[in-house]
Amino acid sequence: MKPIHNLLRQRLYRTQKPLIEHPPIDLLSAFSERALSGPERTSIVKHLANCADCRDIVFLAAREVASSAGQISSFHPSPRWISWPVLRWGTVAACAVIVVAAVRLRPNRQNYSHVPVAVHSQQPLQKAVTAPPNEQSSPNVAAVHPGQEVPPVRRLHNSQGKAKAVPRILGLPPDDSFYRQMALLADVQTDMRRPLPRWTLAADGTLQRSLDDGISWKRVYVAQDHVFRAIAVAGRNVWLGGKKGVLFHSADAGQHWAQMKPTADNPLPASDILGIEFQDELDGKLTTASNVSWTTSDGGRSWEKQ
Amino acid sequence: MRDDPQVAGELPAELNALLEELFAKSPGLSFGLTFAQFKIILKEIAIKHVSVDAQESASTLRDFFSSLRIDDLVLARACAAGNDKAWESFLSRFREKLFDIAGYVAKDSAAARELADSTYADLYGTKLRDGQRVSKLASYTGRGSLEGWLRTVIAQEYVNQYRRRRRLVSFEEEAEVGTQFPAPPVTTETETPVDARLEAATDEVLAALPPDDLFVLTSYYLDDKTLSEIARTLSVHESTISRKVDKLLKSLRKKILGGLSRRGMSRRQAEEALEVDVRDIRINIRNRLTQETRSQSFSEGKAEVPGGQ
Repeated sequence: MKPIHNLLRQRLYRTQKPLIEHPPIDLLSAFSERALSGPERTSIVKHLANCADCRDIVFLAAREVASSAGQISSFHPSPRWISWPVLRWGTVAACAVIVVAAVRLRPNRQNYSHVPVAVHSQQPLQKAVTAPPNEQSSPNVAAVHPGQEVPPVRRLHNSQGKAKAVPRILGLPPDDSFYRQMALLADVQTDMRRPLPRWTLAADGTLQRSLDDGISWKRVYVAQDHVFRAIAVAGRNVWLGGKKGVLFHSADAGQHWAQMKPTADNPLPASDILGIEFQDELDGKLTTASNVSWTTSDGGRSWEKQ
Repeated sequence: MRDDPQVAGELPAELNALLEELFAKSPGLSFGLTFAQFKIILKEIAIKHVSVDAQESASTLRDFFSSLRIDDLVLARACAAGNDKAWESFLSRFREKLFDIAGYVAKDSAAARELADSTYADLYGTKLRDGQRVSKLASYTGRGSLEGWLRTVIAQEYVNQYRRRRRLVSFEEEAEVGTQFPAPPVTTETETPVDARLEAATDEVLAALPPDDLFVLTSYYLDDKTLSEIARTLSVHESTISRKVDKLLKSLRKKILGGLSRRGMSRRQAEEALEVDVRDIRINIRNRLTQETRSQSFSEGKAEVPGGQ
């Protein structure tokens, strides 16, 4: 079927015309909301089929749905994973994990009960992490100091930064270290279930990912219109460099991406990044088109020109 | 205003009653809008969106007026007219959303803030026409929700900002990178035509496709949109799009084979012609299409897209 795909691409491209007249914005938005019908809708779809500009707008304006995580292409139907053997062994494994977690976390709860406990404030691209016992709290970290009693509720931060209370359940310990440990454990388990993807950069500078050891590759959207020229992977960390010094990092195997922006204290290269190498999750080096090397020893948070 | 039949003149009593009812249910009065102004707004919208023939029909007009988002429309027009209470209501409903939408569209907090700010300036109306502030909200017609309209306006603004930015390169960038010269065209990628009959057969089949199918194919093959992105745009389930693409491919293949047969190819020749990958003919179509489509999508030379006015 592959040749026909390429043939279609070629011929469809020829159907694209530079259109001068575009439908008004309110009709495009009404189309997105299925508020149009009959000839009005047909004329909009006809226009969209031939106008890349309006397609861009309609796609950008499409509402983000919460269920995007569960979107699986039906070109590759997923196997029936909810089968009896999986359920049976899954239950056994879950019980074992709970028992091990309960046994291992109980002493930890006592160790952590009189040390600063911190929850990061809103940082959309990062998961909440626990600060090490002797780490100083940073300005954007809400800290509970030694000796201060932790209220018997778990405080979570929503996107507006407002704290909301989650009631205690079934007599679990009053401090929230247990909850955080469990949350981290759940995160780790979820991450562990996911196979580490393989990454490559296409010739046009787009990022591609394979979840089946390179048998099939799917384009990954990182950010609008960036051309990437270099990639480095260390565990679940992925760094992407490209034109005009653009640098992205993902700490969760490509689930979320954050662009690294230069600041007065932390400059970044302005020319094209052509190579990135990371020996481990902290120490790395990048090379730019102007043949200048930059190094980092903190996982790319700050870079130093060599 | 055009000299159109029903709408341009005095509305029939039945329609007038409907408009009165719609106005009474709307917060128009509290935003300082009079019924006469409300009626003029609705008539203008009908003239713009309802075909002249359909304007003859009272039932079509009734359905059209009833389908409008009157509350949103009244709010938007009152804001455009500078009513403070309307602005208060608008900001309480959409201020956060404006930033959320900008964040989703721009995918970067600094760019999102800039995008939301410039959109807000447009909505408030920083330009003057005949001494009057021109608010973009005056172009909202209530055909979809005000939130959906804002989403589309922000997307359009993002595309326009992108074009404007492409024209500007900072001195630092130029100093570090050096003056850029376009590379000469790659001569090895000269386009050798595919069998003309294959092209003709494919074009014929594509031209006969319904617009919906063509939209799905173009989005999937030219824009590299995922099935879920296309499904979201068309408000259908992803599996529906997946099935559609699958079915379309099979049907296209069959029709192209038929077209090739009509152009004098034997069944076997037609099959062989379809099996030849166009990339084998010294053209890397995928690369070219991706690059060209990108530059076409946000090309500098084009007029700023969709008016909205």
